[in-house]
Amino acid sequence: MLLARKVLVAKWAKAHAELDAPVPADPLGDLKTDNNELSVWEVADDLADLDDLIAAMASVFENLSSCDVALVSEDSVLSRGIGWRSSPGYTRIARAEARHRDLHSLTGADLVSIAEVFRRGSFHMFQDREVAVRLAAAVTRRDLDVDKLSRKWKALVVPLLLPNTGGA
Amino acid sequence: MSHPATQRSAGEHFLGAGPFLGSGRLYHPADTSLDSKTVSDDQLIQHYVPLGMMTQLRELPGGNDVVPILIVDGNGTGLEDRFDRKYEPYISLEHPIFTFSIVANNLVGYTNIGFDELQPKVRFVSSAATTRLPDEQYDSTGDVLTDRLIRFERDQEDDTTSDLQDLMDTLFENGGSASLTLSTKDAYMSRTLSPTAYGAYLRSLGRVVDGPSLALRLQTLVDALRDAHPAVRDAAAVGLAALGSHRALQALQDAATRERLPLLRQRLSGVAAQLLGPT
Repeated sequence: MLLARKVLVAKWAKAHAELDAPVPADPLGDLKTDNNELSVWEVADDLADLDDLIAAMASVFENLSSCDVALVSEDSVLSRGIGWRSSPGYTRIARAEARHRDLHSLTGADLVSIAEVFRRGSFHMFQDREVAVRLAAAVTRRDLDVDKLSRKWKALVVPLLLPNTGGA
Repeated sequence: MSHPATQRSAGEHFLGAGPFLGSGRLYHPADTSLDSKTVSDDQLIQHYVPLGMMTQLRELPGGNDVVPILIVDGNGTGLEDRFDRKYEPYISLEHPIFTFSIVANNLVGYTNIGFDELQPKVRFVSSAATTRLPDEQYDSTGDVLTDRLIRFERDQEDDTTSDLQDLMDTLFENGGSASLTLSTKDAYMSRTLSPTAYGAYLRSLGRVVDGPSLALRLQTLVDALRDAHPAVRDAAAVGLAALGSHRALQALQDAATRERLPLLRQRLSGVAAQLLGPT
């Protein structure tokens, strides 16, 4: 199992390229916690459900945006003594909710440790239109109601839909 | 003074790094022709200036000749270096900045000025052939956007929820895209805007729906692919992906080739691939 976290690749580019150097501070900006919990999503080892995850995350975006994610193995995080628990993810794709986890009881040192893991992970980048394609696929599968998308996303997604698959 | 640059016809302007300086490079990221060239009034105003060339037209005292003042950075390394290294994408604060003047087909000299002196002068172009935007319009729209971008960074906003895009759409829809683009670049070059804030602007720039400013926005994003800061290069790539213009393809491929950071190379290549074919 892999764990995914939405990031901005620009914040990680140097940290990823200079693995011998200490973790810089910028990546920590992508590890915002709430109640000392960090939101992550499950992804299959073969990435078969990565596209679905992008759609799940993007389904709640108000504005057009790219979507970058960093992926690490579950073991690489858990082996650092970091605990997790399941919690419903914030998404408009109901069946994706269960793929969400919170890493909990985190300390500042834990965040640096998590950043160390993530900067060695794999990064996947989806530009606006690539995100829209994945949202359209979710609509086509009837996992997502196109009318639940924001106006801007709907304008991008609807033209991608096949006839009789929702919306338009 | 017998440089070919001085052999121009009425209504033509010399553009080029001045061999008479012995060194220096033209500040013009979009123009790969390093040597001197002559363009017409219309070309200068319609093509070069909106693309952000640091050019200003003025009338010299004692004459009615509208002359270009070309601003280059010179580092004293000679002509060979100028040809080999091509141009620098941005004026460096560490380099001297020259203005030089041609009057009645003669080079009348050049002046080394500081960046602080340059900064207020390069916002827009004024000549007999174009109309300068009212200062208050320029300043107000530029300031509104700059302030909003500063707030974007300060509050650690996110593209997915920020209303920055709405503001950008409104400002561009209301016109003044050239002044907005130049003023925002000015704010970044003068370090009023951080790379993070300027990056947010660039990403949004690609998403603006405004046909008339398409070429200007495309060029601004292409220019930013050469920025020294990774956050700006990355944002430029994201903006170009949103813009979706095949005209950016070569610039993206070139940027990917010279990019040293693997993740950014991955981004640049990915965006180029996206422009080449189906998602």
